[in-house]
Amino acid sequence: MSAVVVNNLNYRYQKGGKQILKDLNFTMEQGQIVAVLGLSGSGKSTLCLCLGGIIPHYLGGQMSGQVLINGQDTAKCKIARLAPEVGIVFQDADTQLFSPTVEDEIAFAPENLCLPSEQIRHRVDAVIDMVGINHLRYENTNNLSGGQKHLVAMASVLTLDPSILVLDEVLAQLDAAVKKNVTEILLELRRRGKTIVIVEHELEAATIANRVLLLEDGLLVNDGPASLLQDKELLARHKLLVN
Amino acid sequence: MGVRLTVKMINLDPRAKIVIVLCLSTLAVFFNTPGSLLIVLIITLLLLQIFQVKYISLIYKFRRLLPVLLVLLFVQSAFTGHGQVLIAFGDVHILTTGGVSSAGCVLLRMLILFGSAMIIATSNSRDYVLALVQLKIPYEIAFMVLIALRFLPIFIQEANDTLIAMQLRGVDIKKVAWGKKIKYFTYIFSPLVSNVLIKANQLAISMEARGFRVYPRRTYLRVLKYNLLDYLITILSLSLTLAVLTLSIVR
Amino acid sequence: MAFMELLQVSFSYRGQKQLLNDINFSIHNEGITALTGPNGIGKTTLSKLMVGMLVPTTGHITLKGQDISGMTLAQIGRLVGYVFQNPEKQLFCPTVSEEISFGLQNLELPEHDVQRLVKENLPYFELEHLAQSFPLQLSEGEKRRLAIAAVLVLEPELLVLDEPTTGLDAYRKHLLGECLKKIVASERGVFMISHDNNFINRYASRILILENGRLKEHGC
Repeated sequence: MSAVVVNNLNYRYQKGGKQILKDLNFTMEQGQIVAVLGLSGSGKSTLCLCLGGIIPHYLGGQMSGQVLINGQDTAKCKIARLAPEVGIVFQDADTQLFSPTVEDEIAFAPENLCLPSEQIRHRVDAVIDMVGINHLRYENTNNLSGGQKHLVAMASVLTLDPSILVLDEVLAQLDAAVKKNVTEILLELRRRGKTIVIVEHELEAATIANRVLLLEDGLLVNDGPASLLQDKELLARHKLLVN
Repeated sequence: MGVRLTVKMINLDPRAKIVIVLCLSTLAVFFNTPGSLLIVLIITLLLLQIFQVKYISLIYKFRRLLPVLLVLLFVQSAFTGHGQVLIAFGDVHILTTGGVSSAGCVLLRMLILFGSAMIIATSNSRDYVLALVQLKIPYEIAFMVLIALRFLPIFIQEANDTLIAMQLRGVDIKKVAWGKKIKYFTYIFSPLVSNVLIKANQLAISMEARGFRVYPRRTYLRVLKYNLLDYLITILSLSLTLAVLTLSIVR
Repeated sequence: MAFMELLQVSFSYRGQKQLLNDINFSIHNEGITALTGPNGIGKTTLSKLMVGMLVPTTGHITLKGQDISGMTLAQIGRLVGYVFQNPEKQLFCPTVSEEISFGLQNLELPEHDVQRLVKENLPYFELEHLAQSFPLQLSEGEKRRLAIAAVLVLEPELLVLDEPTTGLDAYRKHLLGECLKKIVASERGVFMISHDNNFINRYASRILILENGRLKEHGC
C-alpha cells in the first residue's frame, strides 16, 4: 500500500475563486524522501494542508478528487484518525510555539491524543533525545534562538509519531549548522521507515530527496528522480533557477 | 529550613496561590486606613520574600506614579476637607491630614495589588491551564487564555515597530497636533489586526495539525495535586481574611 | 567623511549579557554592503541601532558627522530608510499609492508634486497595476517592493534592509536584486542583513561578518 495517493485533486479556497491545485495525480511510497518544488503561489503549501486533512476538515473550500493516506480517504475518515498519520512542520516557528516551556510544547500533541501520562513522558523523552535538545527541556520557548525554535517545532510534531512527515518551507531558512542537524534527523527518520515530504522553493534544500515533484501554477509539471535537479535548462524554464 | 520553605511555597498549587492573592486584594480594597493597609502590605512583602520574588524593583517602578499621587494629595486636601489643616492659603486648604491619609491609602493599595499579582507570576502559565482545567473549565478556554498571554507582548512590540516606521517616514510624533496624532495612532491598527488574524490562523492550523480538539477530552503530562500544605494555606488564608473582615464590620 | 560611522558601539538588552561589543565601521552612501552571521547573533539589533530605534549602551553613531542621539527619528528617516524583516509592520495605509504618498505629505510638499512623485514611483517598482490595492493583500515580493518604495520617496542616501530575501523564491529574489541595483545606480547606498549566501555573493560589493558580538570585514 502506498503512503500517499493523490487522485485528480482540484482545490479552490472559495467557490468561483482562483483554482489553486489543478488535477494533481501522484503517489508516494513508504520510506521515500520526496521534494515538492515550486515558486511562491504554485500551490505547495495548499498541497501540504490537503495531505494533513486540514483541507477539507478545518479549512473548507472547494475540493474534488481524492487524497489517500495509508489507504484512508482524508475526506471521509475522522481527523482524529488522520492527525497521528501526518505531521506538518510549518514555515513560521513563532506561530507554532505557544507553551511556556519546551517540554510542554512537545507534550502537547500526545496529550491531544489522550495518551496516558507515562506514555506521553516516554514519547517526549524519546523525541527530545533524537532531536538533541535535552539541554533546552525546561527553557522558555520565548527565549530560544531562531534555529532552536525550528528544532522545537519539529520535535513537537514528531511526538505525534506520524508515519508521514511534511516540512513546509522549513529547511531553506535554517543556517548551515541547524540545517545539517535537521538533515541528519530526516535521514534517521527515513531509516525508521517514515515517508518525508520536503516542500521548498529553494533547490539546495532538496539535495537529500530521492524524488522530485515540480509544481507550477497548481499543475504538476514534472515528476522524476533526484537527477532532475541537475537539469539546469528544465529548472530555468520553470524559473526555479535564474541566471 | 528557610530554603526548604521557599521551595515548598514556590511549588504551591497555583489554585492555592490564587486564593492567597484573592484574600490580599479583598483586604486591600476593604481597608481604608493607612495603618491597616500598611499591615497588609507588610504581609504581602513577607510572602514575596518567602516566594523569593525580587520586589525592590516594583517599589522602584512606583516612583513614576509620584506626580500623580502629589496631585491626588492636593486635590483630596482641597476638596474633601476632613482632618486637620496642615497648610492653608487663605481659605483654601492646601494640605490636610485627611488628604495625606487618602493619598497614602491609594499608594498602599496599589503596592498590595501589584505585589500580590507577583505571587501569581511564580508559577508558569501552563500550570494555570492545568488549574483551570481541573476546576472543570473547558480546556479550549484554558488554552485560549494561555495563548493570549503568550502573544500579547509580541503584538505590543509589533505596534511599537509600526509607530517607529511611521516616525522614520517623517512624522515627528512629539510635534504633531493632537488631532493628527489620533489619526496616526489609528493607522497602527491596520497592520496589527491583519497580523493578529494571520498569526491566529497559522497557530490554529498548526494546533489542529497536532491533533488539538480531536477528542472532547485530553490528557496531561503533569497533573496538579492539592496536597497537605496547599489545604493548610488555603484554609489559613480564607479563615484569617474572614475573621479580620467580620471583626472590623462588627466594630 | 563617511556617511555613517559607528564608533566603539556596544549594546546589551536590559538585564542580559552583552550582545554587541566594540563595533567600529563606516559606510559610504554607495554600493551594497551585506552584514552576515549566524541566527540570533545581533544583526537585527545592529541595524536598529543604525537608525536610532535602539540606543547604544556605550559608543556613538554619527550620520554625516552628526551624532544621531541628538536627532529625531523623523530627521534620521530623511537620511536613512529602513525596511523591517517583516515589511507588513510598516504598511499601514489603506492603499498602495497612499502608502507611497505618506512620507511625501509629511515633507509638506504641494499636493500636485506628491501625486507626480507617486505616479513616477509606482512603475519604477512595478506596482502600477496595484495602485488602489490594500497593501496587506499583496504577495510577499510586492509587499517588500512597496515597503522599499515608501521609504525611498523620502530620498534617503542609505537604505537599510533586514533579511530582504525572506520568503522570496529564486525568481522573486532576482527581481529584488535588480531593484537594489537600480537603487545603487541612483547614487544611494544599500546596507542589507542577510544569511542568504547566494544572494550576498551575487549582489554585495562589501561583506561584513558579525560573530560573537564582534565585526569582521570579509577578506581581512
